[in-house]
Amino acid sequence: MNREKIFLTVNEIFREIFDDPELSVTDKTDANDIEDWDSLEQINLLVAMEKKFLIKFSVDDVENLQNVGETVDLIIRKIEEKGDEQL
Amino acid sequence: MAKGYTLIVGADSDIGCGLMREIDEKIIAHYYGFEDKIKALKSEGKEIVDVWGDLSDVEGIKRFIEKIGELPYDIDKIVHLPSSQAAAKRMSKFDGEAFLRDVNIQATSAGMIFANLLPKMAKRKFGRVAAVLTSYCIGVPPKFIANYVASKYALLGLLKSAAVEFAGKGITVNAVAPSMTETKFLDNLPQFEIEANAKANPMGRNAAIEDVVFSLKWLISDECEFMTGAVIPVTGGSNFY
Repeated sequence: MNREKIFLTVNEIFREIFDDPELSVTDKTDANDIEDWDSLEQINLLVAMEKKFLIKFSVDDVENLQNVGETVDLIIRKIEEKGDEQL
Repeated sequence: MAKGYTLIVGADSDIGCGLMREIDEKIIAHYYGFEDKIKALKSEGKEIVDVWGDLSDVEGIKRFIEKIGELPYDIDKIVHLPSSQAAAKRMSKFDGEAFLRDVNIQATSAGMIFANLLPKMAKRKFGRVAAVLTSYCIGVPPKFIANYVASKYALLGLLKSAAVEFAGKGITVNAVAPSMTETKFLDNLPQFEIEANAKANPMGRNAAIEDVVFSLKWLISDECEFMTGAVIPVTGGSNFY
């Protein structure tokens, strides 16, 4: 799965969590750009991403995430790590 | 001095099972969902009378108390552990029925059991009551778990009321207030949240089952005779009075 596909899937997760089918995020989108993006929704987003991409985040992974782009990069890294573990 | 049974409500919890392993007392074990855990302890030689009970509504609590009343045993000690899981939800999504269910499991059950058993303990001039609250009852609670926090505060009020009412009757009523404790209770939380909580704790970890069990063991000991109405933080320093 390339970055573009992962990004589109992440955008779908944002639309589901915030119940907004028109929502479009960018790499720079952060919690200041979406009114309802608070600590509860951050957890809901991360849990949805874990389920969708079959990965597990650690606290070190997620505690300093600044925006959507960093989150997508993290997902790519976790998928790659999972692949390495399975080799 | 205790000669009767210890009633452990919510004995099939991880803390309940841990406590049953630690105490050398005759036990009446209330369970709801995990009968196998009680059976496993009985097979290890523990003297346990197990009683099923649904504490989520008043009728269920009444039936449970009737079953306890039919047993030919005096109860000297009560450990109150039942709790529903803390589900994150905004105040705008408050559900009255779910709230009452949580309150029944945690607090109404305690009140009804106290009403039935504490007067009997008072006649025998001896009793120990211990319950598990939460560190969220100390200072500022976290957001989004109003049902859990409010239910624990209801239980806290009952404990304090029972403590003062029965202080002159040889009965002590106390509680532990643990921070996040690593039990199956956390199964519905993401791992990163559990890790974050441990990382934020001054001692660098979450509470272990044993941390809570040994505090409870002291609170129901014969020696715990002059401390009542206390809420002991078992928090690694994350919350205290």
